[in-house]
Amino acid sequence: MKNILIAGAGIGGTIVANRLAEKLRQEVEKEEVSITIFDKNEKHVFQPSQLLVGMGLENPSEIVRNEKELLNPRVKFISGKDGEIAKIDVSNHSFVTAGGKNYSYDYAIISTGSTLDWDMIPGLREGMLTVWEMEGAIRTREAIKNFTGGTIVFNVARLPHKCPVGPLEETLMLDDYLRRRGIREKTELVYTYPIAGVFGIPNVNKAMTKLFESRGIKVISPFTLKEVDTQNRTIESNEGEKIKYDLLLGVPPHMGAKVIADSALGDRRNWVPTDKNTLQMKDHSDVYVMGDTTDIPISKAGSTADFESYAVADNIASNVRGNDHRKMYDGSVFCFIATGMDTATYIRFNYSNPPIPPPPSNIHWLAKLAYNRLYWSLTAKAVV
Amino acid sequence: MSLKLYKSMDLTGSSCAGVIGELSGVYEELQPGEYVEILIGADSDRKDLYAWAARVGAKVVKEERQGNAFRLEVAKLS
Repeated sequence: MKNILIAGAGIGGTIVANRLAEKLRQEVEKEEVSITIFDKNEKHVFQPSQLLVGMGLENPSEIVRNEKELLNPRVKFISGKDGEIAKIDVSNHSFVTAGGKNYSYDYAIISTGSTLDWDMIPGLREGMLTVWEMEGAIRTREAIKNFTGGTIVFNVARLPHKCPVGPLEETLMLDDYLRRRGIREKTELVYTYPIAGVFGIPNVNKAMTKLFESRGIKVISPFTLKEVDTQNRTIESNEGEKIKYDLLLGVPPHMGAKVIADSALGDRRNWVPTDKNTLQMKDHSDVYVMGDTTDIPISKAGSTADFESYAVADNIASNVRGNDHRKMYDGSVFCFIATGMDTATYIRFNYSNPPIPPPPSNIHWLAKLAYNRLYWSLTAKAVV
Repeated sequence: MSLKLYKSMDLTGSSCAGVIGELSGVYEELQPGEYVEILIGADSDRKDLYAWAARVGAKVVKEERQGNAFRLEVAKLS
C-alpha cells in the first residue's frame, strides 16, 4: 500500500486530493493506494470571496462549506486534533499530529498555506481592517457601511501576499461603492504599496495606474509600512512618509504556516524551498509543495494552486504506476480583477508570457461571479 | 568581509510581486553579512534593481551575464 498524505485542506489540498482520487481510482479501490488529507478545520472557506463579503456583496455563510462534502469519497479526511499537523518529518517520511499520532507517507503534499503576521508592525492589529481574514471582512463591511467621509488609506504592508490583485480590487470597488453612496467627493482615497507603482507586473501596473488616475485615487509608493499610530490615526513608512487616515484598510504581512517552522522546513518567512517547475521540495523528491506554501516567485493565489495540482497529481500518479513521466508546472496563473461593483478585467499568464489585461467590462464581472459559484461544484471537486 | 549566501531565486518569469517585490521581501529577512543570489531576465528589471538597491542601502556585490539572463548577488552589509 502506497500512502499519499496531504497537509492542509484549503483550495490547493482539496483540489489535488480530488484529482489524485480520480487519477488513481483503480489503485485506491484495490487498496494499493491510500489518499489522506489533514486539516484541523472541518469547514472549507473560499477565501477569494472574502473581498465580496467585505464589500457587502456576499454573506459569510455563502462562502463556507463542509470539507467532507467537497472531497471524493476515496479520500480520507482527518480533522480536529489529529488533523492538525504538529510536525512534518521529512527524514522519517511521516506526519506527526497534534493528537500524537504518526502517519507514514510514500508521497507527501504540503499545502499548509499562509498566515497573517500582525505582530511584525507595531499598531497594525489595532489599526487595520483586512478582508484577508473572515472576521476582518465582516468588520470591513460594517466600517464602510458606516463611513460618511474623510480619508481612507489602503496599505499593502509587505510583498509577497495572498491574492496579489486583491488590493487593486478592493480599492477600485471601494471607489465605486463610495460614488454610488454619493460620498466619494467627501472622501480621499489613498493607495500605498511597498514598491513603485500599484502592482509588480509592468503591463498590469501601467493599466491599473491609468485606471487609478482616472478615478482620482491617490497613489503613494514605494511605501513600506513601519508603524501604525492608532492614537493619532497615522501610518508611517520606512521611507519617512506619514499619512493621516480615518479608515485604514489593507493587507498585513504574510508568512508560511507555523508547522513549517516547527518542522524546520522553510526559510525565515516559513516559505518552503520548492523547484519552480517540478514543485518538489528541494532535496526531497517524495515531497511536493503547493499554493501559498512554496517559496517560488509566483502569485500566491487559488488559481495558482489549481494549475499546480495538475502537475503534482500527474507526477505522483505516474510514479505510483512506475512511469517516469514528468509534467512541469509552467507558472500559470489566472485572476479576475474587479474594477468596480459590477465590472472586472482579468490576467492570465505564466513564467514565459506576461499578462495583458483587457479593458474592464461587466461581462468579466459576471464571469468572476460565475467562477466563484462554480468553484464548489467544478473546481474544488477537480471536475475540470 | 566574507558574505554568506542566504538564498537563490530565479526571478526570470512573470510574478505578481515583480522582481523588486519578490526581492524586497527576501532582503528584509537577510542578516548583515548575508546575500541573496538572483537571476533576472530583462534589462529593465536590472535597472529597477539598482535604483531599489540605492534606495534601501542594498549592495550589488556581483553581476554577470548568464545566457540571456543576469545573475546578481545582492547583499545586506550592515
